[in-house]
Amino acid sequence: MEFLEPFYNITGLLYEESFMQRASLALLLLSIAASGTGVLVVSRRMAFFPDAVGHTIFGGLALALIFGLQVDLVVLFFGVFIGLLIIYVVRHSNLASDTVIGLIFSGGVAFGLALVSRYPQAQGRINRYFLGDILTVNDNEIILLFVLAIVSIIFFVLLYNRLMLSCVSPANYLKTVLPEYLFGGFLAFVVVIAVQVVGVLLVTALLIAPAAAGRVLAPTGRWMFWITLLVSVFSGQLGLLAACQPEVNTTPGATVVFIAIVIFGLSVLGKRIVASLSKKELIHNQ
Amino acid sequence: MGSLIKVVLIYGLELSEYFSFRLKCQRNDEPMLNKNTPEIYVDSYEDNAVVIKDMGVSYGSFDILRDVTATIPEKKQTVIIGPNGAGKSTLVLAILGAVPHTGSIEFFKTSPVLGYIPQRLDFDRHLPLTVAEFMSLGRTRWPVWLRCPKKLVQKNMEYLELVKAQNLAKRPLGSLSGGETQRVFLARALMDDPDLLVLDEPAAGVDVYGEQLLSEILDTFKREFTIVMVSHDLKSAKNHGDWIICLNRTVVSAGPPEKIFRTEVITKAFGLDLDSLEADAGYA
Repeated sequence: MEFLEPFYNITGLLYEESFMQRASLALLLLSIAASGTGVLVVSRRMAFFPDAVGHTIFGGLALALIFGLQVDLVVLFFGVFIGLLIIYVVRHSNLASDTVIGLIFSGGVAFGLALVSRYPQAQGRINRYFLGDILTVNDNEIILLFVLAIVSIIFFVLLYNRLMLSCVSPANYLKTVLPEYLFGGFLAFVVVIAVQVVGVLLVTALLIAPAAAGRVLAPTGRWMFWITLLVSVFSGQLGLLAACQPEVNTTPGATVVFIAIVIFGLSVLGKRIVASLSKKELIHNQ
Repeated sequence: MGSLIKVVLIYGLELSEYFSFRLKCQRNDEPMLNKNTPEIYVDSYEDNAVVIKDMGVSYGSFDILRDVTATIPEKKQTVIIGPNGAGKSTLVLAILGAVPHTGSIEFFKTSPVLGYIPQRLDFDRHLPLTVAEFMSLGRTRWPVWLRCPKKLVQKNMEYLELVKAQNLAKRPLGSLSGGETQRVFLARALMDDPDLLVLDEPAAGVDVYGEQLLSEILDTFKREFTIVMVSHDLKSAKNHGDWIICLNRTVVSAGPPEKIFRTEVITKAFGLDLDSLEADAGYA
C-alpha cells in the first residue's frame, strides 16, 4: 500500500522488521480510538460493557465458521448487534445495567461454546481472539484501523459533549437516546477490533486503564482526554518495544496492558504523595 | 449533642407526620387517597403554559396519579405541594415527558424548551470536569477537549453571575456544595432560555442561606418564563408562589395562595389539619 509508506518510514526509525513497523502503526491507531472511547466508558460507568461484547465474539466467530461466511465481517456485526442489544435491554427493562450485561455476557459465551463443542472445526481461530496477535496484522487490517481512528475522531468531535453532559446532568437523558445507541454501536466496533490486538481477556484494560490514569491526573475534562491519549499511545509503543527485546520476550498485547496499568498505579501513588506533601506544608505554614 | 437532638427532633416530627397520615388513610377505605372532596377548589387562569386533563400515571396496577386536571399559568411561579407519596415528582416528570401517562398534557407552544433541576443532584463527583466546562457542554459544536469559543466563555460567566456563582467557574463540578451545584445547574438551565423551568424540591439538601438565595434568583425571573416547583415547605410556597397545586395522588385543590392556604384545604391534601400539625410540633 503506497499511502502507508510515509508512516512506515517513521516507524522504521524504531524497527527494522516490517511486521514490527506494522504492529507499531497498528497500536498507534488503536490507541487513538481507544483513548477517547475509554474516557467515555469510565465516565459513563460502562467498564463491563467491552468485556461483554468481547466475550460474545465467540458466538459470532462460531457462526461464521460453521456457515462458511467471512469471519471478520460476521464477528463485527455480531459484536455491534450485542452492543446495541445491551443498550436496548438496559433502557427497556427495570434491571440494573450490570445484571443485563452479566446475562448477555454469559448468554453470548454459552452460545459460542455450545456451537464450538458441536462443530470442532470452529476451534481453530479461537486462540487468536483469546490472546490477540498484534504481530500478524496485515496491510488490510492497518487500513481498517485507519478507518477506525478516523471514525472515532469524528465521533469524539460530534458526540463527546453530549455523552459527557448526560453523565453529569440526568435531566438530559431524554435527549440522549440516539447518542447512547450510537455510542453502544461504536464502542462494540472498537472492542471487536481491539480484541484482535490484545485478546478478549485484556480488551477492557486496554480501554479503561489509560482513562483511569487520565481521570486520576487530570484537573479538567479537557486534560482528562489528552492525558488519556498520551498514556494510551505511550503504553502502546513502550509495551511493543519492551516485548520485542530479547531479555523481555513477552506477548505484546499483555505487555501493553500491563504497562498501562502500572502507569495508572504510579499516577495514583504520585497523586497521594503530592497531596500528603501539600498537606504537610499547609500544617507547617500554620 | 445539640445538633443530634435537633436531627432526632426533625426526624421524629417527620415520622409522626407520616404515621398520622398513614393512620388517617387506613381509617378511610380508600388507601392513601381522599376521595370525598366536596369543597375541592380548582381555579384556572386565562393564560396557561400547560393544561393537564384527566392525566394518570400507573406503576403496574398501582395508580400513582389519577384524574389529574390542572393548569399551570404562563410566566408565573407554580408550586406543587402535597404529602410524601402524593405523586409530586411523578407529576413533574410526566410534564417533562419522562414517564408514560394517560390523558393529555398540552403546552401553550409547540416544542417548548424545558429546563429541569432534579431533586437529587447525584452524579459522579470525582469526574474531572470544571464548572465552566460543564456550562459549555451542549452549547457549542466544539468538543470540550478541543476548545471553547471566547464568546461562550463570556456567556458562561454572565450566567454564572446571574446565579451568584461567578467565582466557581474554575472549580471541579464535583467539589461544589449542594446549594452551589444547584445554582450552577440553574445557570445551565437558564442558558437554554427555557419556556418552562421545573425544580423538584429545590430546598432539599440546601442550607437556609442557599434556599433564600435560590428564591431571590427565581423571583428575578418570575415574569420571564414559567416556573414549576415541587415543595415541601408550605411557608415558602405561600410567600413565593403565584399559583398553588395541592396534590395527593390527584389534584385536591389549585389556585392562588390566598385561596389555598386555608385550614380545610390543607387538611384535604395532607390528611391532617394545621392545628394538629402545630400541636405535634409543640409536643416534639
